[in-house]
Amino acid sequence: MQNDSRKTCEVCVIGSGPGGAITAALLAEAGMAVILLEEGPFLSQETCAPFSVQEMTMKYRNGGITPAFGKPKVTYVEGCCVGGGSEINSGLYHRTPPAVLESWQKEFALKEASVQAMEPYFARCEAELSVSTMPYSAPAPSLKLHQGATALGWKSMEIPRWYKYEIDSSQASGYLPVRQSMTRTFIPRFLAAGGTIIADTKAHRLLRGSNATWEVNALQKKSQEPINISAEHVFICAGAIQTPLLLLRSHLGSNVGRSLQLHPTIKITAEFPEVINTKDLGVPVHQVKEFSPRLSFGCSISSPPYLALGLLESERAEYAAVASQRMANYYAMITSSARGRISSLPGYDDPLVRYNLQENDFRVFKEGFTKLSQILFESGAVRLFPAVQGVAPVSSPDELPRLLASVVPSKTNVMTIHLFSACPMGEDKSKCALNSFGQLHDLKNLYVNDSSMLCSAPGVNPQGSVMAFARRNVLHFLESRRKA
Amino acid sequence: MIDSLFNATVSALCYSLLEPAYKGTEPNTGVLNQVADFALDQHSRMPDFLRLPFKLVCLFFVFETFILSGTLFHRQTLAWRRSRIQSWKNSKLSPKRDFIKFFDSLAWLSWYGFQPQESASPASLNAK
Repeated sequence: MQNDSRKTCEVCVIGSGPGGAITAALLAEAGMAVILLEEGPFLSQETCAPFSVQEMTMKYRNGGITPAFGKPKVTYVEGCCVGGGSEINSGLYHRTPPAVLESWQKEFALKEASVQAMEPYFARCEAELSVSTMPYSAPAPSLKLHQGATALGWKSMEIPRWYKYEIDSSQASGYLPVRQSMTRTFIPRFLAAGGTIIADTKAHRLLRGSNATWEVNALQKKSQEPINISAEHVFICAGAIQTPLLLLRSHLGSNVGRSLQLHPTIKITAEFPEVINTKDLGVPVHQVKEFSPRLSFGCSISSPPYLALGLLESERAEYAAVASQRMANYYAMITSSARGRISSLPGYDDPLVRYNLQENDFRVFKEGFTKLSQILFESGAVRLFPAVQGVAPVSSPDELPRLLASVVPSKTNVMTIHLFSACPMGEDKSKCALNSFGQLHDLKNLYVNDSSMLCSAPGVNPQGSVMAFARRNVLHFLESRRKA
Repeated sequence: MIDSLFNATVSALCYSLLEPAYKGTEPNTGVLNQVADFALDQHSRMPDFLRLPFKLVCLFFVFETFILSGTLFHRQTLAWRRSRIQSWKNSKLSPKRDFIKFFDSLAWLSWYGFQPQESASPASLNAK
């Protein structure tokens, strides 16, 4: 850790999540002098238990309390630590669906983004992150989802994850799953290549320096001491909210922060007659993709604290204490075409995020509740607790009309963990903030390389897309420099 | 003065919201205190432009309770507090609902999060 307040480097990467970590590592390995600036603390995976209350306070932005305002409000969470979202997510991996890549090329004039062009970037990421399926049986709640969907004739599959499975006889499964987050993969590579990490330090503004350099004005969070970094190139990788916020504060770029997209998600807590949930349940891995990308279903973290949250809208939170072993949380995730907005508020550090679901989204939510309920009843659930305020549990498919009548914006609890597209890539300058390789239009040496750059909602967990495009953009940058 | 009133109200809110978890048993005050501290900490972590409005809503909650009962919220009986909470939970006004929902979520999340799973089950719980 350096202490002096002025620093100089060839490249400053702001943000160390999946986009920033791979960017910093590849640049440092190419021999460039790189400083990686991270707002959150540098903590190992072992600092706290995954998906625990402690993790919320240590690794989540604003302790996990981040709402997007609209009707209804959509609560979202973001990582705020070295490694960013990769340290707190479930590690489920998807490539960008071919139809999505095609639409990005057509609608945003995104160059060199065909399935064939992207293939090597995805393949390399998958190898480096050990993306694989589980070598042992999936958790019971995950299998319940799979069985219910399969019985209905709907496409369901185990989603691979960026996990290594180390043989460990002390584990019931015989394996110790180790998440290949950024602090286990690209951050060690970055440090080994001579890169410098400055953690607990937030970039507040970007200014043009002399000789075509950029000045990054940052503040150390603990000491409140300013740090100024002078860099030839800056890659902003601070996430779908903080990246546009930094650009807006710095009055840089166009089409910034006006096209935020997310995957709105609703939840149902299901109760089964038999034990399906154990303390060492881990992460469920199946998703139902029959109606994807419009609508996907999955199983989420189902520890007692999260079950209690799922039961809260039905005013049954205390029930998690007696029935947690027979319960699990499930979700329906939709792909909405709504676009949200990020604004910088004068005098405040945190941004105002606005996002209004479209009328049609609630029709899809209703379809989501219906289909997810069908799957769960088919797999043997005896009672469903939908996350809709004041709705009593549903015990049979006959009761679904009562549930659907209550699915209105003011009562439905909507959340998301997937945010993107606030600075989309493409050659169409009327709607894109970045060119096809992440550089801000008409701004030299300034790049965005995180989930903000995705043109629209991919309809699948986005980390695979972010990392593949980030790799592609960095390699394009290095190649352009070599040619120059 | 305002801060201590806010802290006392939030603590009382958490105790009241969690009443179904310890009803009929001796409440684990250690965990309840942890829950209240967590709720206050989370308030200080929330986006900066929301902290003051949340405090103001809380003060309105205290003021309304005082007008209705002549006593501060945290000095009221548990049953009375629960009825005020329910009234705000079902209010047509979104800030009232959001205020209760915020602390309801934090209270239950941390109630289960701060104790070993085995000891989370209160003795007298019956499935609804």
